[in-house]
Amino acid sequence: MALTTNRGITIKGIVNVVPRTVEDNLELALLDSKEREALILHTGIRFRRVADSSHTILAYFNKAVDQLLQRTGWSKADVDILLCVTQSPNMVIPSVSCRLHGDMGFDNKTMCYDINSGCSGFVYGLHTISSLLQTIDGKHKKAILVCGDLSTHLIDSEDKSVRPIFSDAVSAIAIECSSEDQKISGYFNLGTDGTGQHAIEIDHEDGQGYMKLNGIDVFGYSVQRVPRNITDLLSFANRETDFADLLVMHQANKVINESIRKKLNVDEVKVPYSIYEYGNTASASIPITLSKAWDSYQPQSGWILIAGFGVGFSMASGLIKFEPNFCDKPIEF
Amino acid sequence: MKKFELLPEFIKFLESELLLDEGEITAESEFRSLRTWSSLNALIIISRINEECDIIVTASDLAKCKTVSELHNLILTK
Repeated sequence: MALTTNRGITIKGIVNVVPRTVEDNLELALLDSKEREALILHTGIRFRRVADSSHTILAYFNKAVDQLLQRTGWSKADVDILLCVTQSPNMVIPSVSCRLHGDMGFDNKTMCYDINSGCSGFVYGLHTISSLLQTIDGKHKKAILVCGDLSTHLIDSEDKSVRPIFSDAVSAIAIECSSEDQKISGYFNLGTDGTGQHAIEIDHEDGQGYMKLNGIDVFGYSVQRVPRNITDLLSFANRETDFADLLVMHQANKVINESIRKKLNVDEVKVPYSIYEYGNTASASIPITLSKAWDSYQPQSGWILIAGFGVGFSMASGLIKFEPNFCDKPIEF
Repeated sequence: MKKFELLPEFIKFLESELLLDEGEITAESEFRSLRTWSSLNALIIISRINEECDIIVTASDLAKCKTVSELHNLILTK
């Protein structure tokens, strides 16, 4: 079990970016009217954002980082780490983070990383940045995490089991580390069950190259592995579930998420969703859900639980201090 | 007694979840041929079985079954 703690880490702010184009599952010609209604009722997904085929993840990341720099007032020279989490790069080489660095004119001292991760990617990215920031020399260190996918570029638009679920979005998160603050600011539990590698995959050898989703197996891995991943995290942190103000899960679909919530016995008022408005937005789904919960968020402990899970089968949970200066609703691009 | 131990109880459960009329499903019904069966409904059935019995039915388990009776036997052996 990869259980870790970090110290002195603060999430300063979050911005989210989505395509302008909205698809409504209630009007999806691929399904008949009864199928559409059942789909919305059970998956919880009505609207999805769809990027034009000419759009790239790089352009969305650029927009999100630009917005984040404006909102924080940071200069690019302040940024020690730029970390990109995506599974839909439009080029394999060079990395998205290096291209973003070059296109936006970051300082040569900025460390750049890509992580190939999907639905667990926000938590994996946050853990990686937090760990790296603590090792960098200096008192006040800054990093930007950008995560998300243009998943609609990876799917067959005629596939009934995939198209009504996935949606495009990216998020950018400003993270600071103070070496003068040695208080624990987060606990993480990162894990993997690689026997689930075929539950969501793109196999180019099948001649199609589209994402295939085995919903039943994704359900099985999610309900078997994720609640345990979270309870192990809470034991490690020596906390009960109700210590957290919120449980913010990756927005897979409502069948899976509600099964996990019930197994953890968490009150539904503590579990926000963004899935009706934005669908399954891969690694951007936790930040987007946080932005939706932000207006009514009233911290008690000031700590929240986050849980990402999916393709891999990869899972990661965190119990983190969450007191950002801003957490913006998605802007359109 | 274990949930769904009796086949009629399981058939009633399936009819309710699949919004089918009473008596529309028999032990020998091929569940994939039921008029409201779909990949989404399959997921819902699997999630409800998990909720009621705390067992996981995988896609590979499901692929081995053809009739409602076979699915019922699978659940009993889990």
